[in-house]
Amino acid sequence: MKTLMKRGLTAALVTSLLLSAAACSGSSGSTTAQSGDSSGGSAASTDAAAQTSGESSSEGVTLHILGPETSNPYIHFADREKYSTWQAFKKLFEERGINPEFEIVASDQYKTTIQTRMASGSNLPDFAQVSSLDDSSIMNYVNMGQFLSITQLMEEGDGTAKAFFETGKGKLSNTLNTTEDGNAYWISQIQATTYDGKPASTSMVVNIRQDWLDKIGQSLPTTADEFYQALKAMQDQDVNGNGQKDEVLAFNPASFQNGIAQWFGLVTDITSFVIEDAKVTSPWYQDGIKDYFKFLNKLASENLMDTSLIGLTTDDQLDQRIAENKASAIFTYAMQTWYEPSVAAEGASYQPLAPLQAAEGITPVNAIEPPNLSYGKWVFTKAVTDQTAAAALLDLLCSEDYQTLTQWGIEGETYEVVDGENQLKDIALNASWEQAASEGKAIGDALWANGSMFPKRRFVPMENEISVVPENKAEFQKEIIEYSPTVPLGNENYLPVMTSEQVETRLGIITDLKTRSEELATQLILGQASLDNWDSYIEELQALGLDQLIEIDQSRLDRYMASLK
Amino acid sequence: MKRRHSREAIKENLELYSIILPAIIMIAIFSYIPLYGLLIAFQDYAPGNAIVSFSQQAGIRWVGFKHFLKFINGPYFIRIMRNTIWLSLLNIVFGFTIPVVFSLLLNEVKLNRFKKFVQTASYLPYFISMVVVAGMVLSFININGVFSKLVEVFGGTAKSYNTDPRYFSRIYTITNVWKSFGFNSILYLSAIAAVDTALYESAKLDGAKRFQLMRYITIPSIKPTMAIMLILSVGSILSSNTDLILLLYSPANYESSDVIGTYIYRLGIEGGQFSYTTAIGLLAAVINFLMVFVANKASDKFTGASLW
Amino acid sequence: MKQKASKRSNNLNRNTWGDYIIIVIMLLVAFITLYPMYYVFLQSISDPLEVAAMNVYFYPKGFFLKSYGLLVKDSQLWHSYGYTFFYVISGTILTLFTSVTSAYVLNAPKLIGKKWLIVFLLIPMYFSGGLIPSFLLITKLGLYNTVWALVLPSSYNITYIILTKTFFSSIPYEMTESAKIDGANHYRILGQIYLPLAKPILAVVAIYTIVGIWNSWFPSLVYQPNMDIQPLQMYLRRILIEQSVDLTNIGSMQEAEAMARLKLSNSQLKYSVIILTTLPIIFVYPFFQKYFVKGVMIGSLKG
Repeated sequence: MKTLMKRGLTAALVTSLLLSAAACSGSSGSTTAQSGDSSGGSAASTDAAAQTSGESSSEGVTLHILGPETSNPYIHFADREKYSTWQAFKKLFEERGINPEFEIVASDQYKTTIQTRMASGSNLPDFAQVSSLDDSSIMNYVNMGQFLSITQLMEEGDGTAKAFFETGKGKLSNTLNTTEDGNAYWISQIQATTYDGKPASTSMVVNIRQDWLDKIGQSLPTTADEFYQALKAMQDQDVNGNGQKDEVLAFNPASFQNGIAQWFGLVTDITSFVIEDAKVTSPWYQDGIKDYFKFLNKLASENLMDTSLIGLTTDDQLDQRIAENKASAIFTYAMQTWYEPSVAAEGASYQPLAPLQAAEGITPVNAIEPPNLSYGKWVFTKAVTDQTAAAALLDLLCSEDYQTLTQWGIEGETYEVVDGENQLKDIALNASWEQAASEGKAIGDALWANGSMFPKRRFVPMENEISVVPENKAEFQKEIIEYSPTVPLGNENYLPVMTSEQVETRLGIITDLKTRSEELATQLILGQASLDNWDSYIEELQALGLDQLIEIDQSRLDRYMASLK
Repeated sequence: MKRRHSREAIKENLELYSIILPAIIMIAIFSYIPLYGLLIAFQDYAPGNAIVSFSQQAGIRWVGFKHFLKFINGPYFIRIMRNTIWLSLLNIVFGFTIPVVFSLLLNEVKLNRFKKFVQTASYLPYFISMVVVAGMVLSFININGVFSKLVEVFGGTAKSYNTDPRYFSRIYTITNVWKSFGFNSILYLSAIAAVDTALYESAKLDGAKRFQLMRYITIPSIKPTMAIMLILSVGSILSSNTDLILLLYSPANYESSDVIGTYIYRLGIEGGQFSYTTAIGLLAAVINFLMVFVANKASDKFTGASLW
Repeated sequence: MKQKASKRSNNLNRNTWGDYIIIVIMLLVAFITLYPMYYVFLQSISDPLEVAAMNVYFYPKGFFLKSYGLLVKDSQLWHSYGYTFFYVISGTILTLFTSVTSAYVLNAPKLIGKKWLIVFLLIPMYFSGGLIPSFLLITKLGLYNTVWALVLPSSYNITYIILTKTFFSSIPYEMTESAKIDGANHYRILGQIYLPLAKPILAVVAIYTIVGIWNSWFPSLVYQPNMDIQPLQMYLRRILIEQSVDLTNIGSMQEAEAMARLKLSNSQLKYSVIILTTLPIIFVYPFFQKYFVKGVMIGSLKG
């Protein structure tokens, strides 16, 4: 009954289905396979548009806009008419002579919808979010002329977009998005954080249970060894009081982005860099790597770390350890406030730890969320019939008004001006979604930019965030801002678009290399592999293309550095 | 004489084919037309390209068996094939026999209400979502889980079972069989129900014991169904329950848990390797397909039951 | 003679030690299969904090029905329930039809080209052309974003055709022959002789198809961007997926926070969803069950 099992037992993993073998064995009748193609993209059947809801009242050029619904449980783009932010946004469309016609697809379904429509060339919108398409497909569409060049489009507008991308806040993002032919073909979400007027970023670090430290009478660990002692003491003294030695470090060391690797100076991905050096390397080549594995091996062999969490594909087990009151330390944002309420114990609190000294002669690094984020992709497709309207929409999305509506909403409703600074009111915070929805007072960010129809624009002083988190975390954040050296969480924010060739080379390498790297790291941590054979491991990784990958990323990083000058 | 006969045969066949025609049309449309998509296994395809075209401008890049060779010569080929086949074999052995044994035993229960109750209970796990099942299993075999406690009670030492590659095949097989045996046994119960009760009555009159009834009447009656199910499961030798493995496996046990389906899934995370993944899938499908023919031949020879 | 026979069968009906062993085994089976569902039920009604901390094993802790409330209140749920019924009923009727007709024909000894027909059926069981060709087909047929995109492709299942054929092969072909001599054509033989005998396998195919369609969401994901016509599973899946978004794929801390909050507030939903989806199927089951726990009398139909 293989067929039946396949049909019924499918887990919620769309990608696996999308790519599970074109010739999917044993699954009769159903077409749960992957891609294929169009016969030349000629199939433009338009009679099957989904939930198209036009704004009938407005005049102007109609633009079809396709995008996902928000993933917010209360605030939905489909209910936009009741929000005053939307009413203000609609006016901006009218002013620019655009009549937007939206097709909203559920967010979980959007990836499939955009993939199939783009690949088959049918039912194409004028403007769409294509963040979920892979690099290889995107570059192919670019080469086939499926997308309009943003660089050319901004010449046809009123100059707002041109100013935004060439000299304004969008400059960095535009640099990252520019392809080898000198054109950018998509626009992205942009977020910039400052502190004290300068670019600044929040960090992800190891957090330790402060209340448990108090229980065992230890102060905050300042070295990796003290950290180890603290974990051991917590377990020995049974700080959660359930009679079991189950107080553990709960994190997933299959990837190098885990906090502890950074104590040993390691970069966060299989190929990445220390921002201050701008030199791409791999953790496997760095000095601290062997000590790192020795340290984790010690934690694992003494059961101070939950090894069953290594490499799991969902976070459920990890969340469960935290909730069960078993996680003595976790790896998360320094200003994280959402785990403590889930812990089944009174007074649980996690204290962020600055990168600890762990090995002699090695400076620990700090993993930061880059101060300038640029992510996601929105494109104009070749379906556009009126270039001026497209240019007008582009200008609109680059305008100050759009930025204000998205980030702050309506003055007096969702934000107020205090001492010349904008400040969000409580109703605009994440905790007030339900109320915001019932009162029709949401900021644009929640209504259309939360991974949804339009790109996010967010330019905030970190002072705002620091003011709302508990004092220990606020203090920590203020101090860590100065910390150097740093490594990026998500190095894509420093690496411009690859050339088509680079995309193909990387694709041929990455999966096997990552598999081997994760597996090797896991085996070294668990003691299933020995450090004695180090050279052979490195040879293996090199044979799988590690150096080629470093080369590709280095050339991208060089392009980025050059553009800063 | 012969001509008349064949005209009659033609008339009869027309009648027969008119009966099966609707099914043939549906299958031809929905299963056969899209088959041209398999061609991308022999191309360097990217979404948006044409698959079939007679024009030179279409820019189809034919690459022959490049993707197949890449997979076969790849670093993980042997491991992936070994794991896929081993997990499938376990699944064929237990996933096939347990529903049969269960159905036979259940058939012996005389209390009708109890029988219905057990049967309904047995197929309930089929409805619990994979994520929840995997979550339960993982907590169960965790170092502090119920299973470790049991082991300790019996004098063993607790350990983390899902970081040890040696245990993976057991964990997977047990979970898989547990989840589906009840649902799969429905088929055998129906086959048993279809046995002419007159056969039992007359055998009982001849003094047959319960075990003899089972051996000489029940089992032979469900043999064709068993044979077909076995043939079909042999034909899925290179497919596994990927969804379950994805939730249970980790780099710590890739050595014994990485299968074709999970490998394709990981390729999918980076995206864009449509031709490569199609080639892997096609290779598996061809082997599965051949296995069905082998199994069918064997079954025909040894049991007399076959697909045709 | 008659008395003797009934005495013997009484003997057989008496419980022996074998019966007890079987009953014990069956109780064990019932326990290991029933407990997880009971566990899921417990989680769905207990206090969410206790659930998250994995404290609930044998009896509910706290009492909390908000997750059900959240689901039941949503009109979308009932709407998609309606569509699921439509898909299940139409798909089951069509599948039964194609299974029975194909199986009957494939069993006819005089069928020309039988082997080719079987191969024709086997190929799609193992090969499929992938997502995009199917997508193009559905679009060109004008089925994209309509209910028919789900109904028509699920009108057959080749495995069920083969299972039905296997079942039919146990029906003696002499019955067909004698009916033919009486002047019946194939349509009548199929309808009047085979159909009544086929009840057990029809029940099986029906229950498998119902469950299959009931649980299926993938075709809807691909072919139906319009939420108004989607089946229940799409709706439920949406609730579950949205709380299990991979945090590592999220761009910034703000988004990580939003996701984490969502996840926390919904952690119990996955359990309630299982209960809500399984209940209707459990109620449907006994209706079919009676066809395969009781035997049939072929002999009685012979006359």
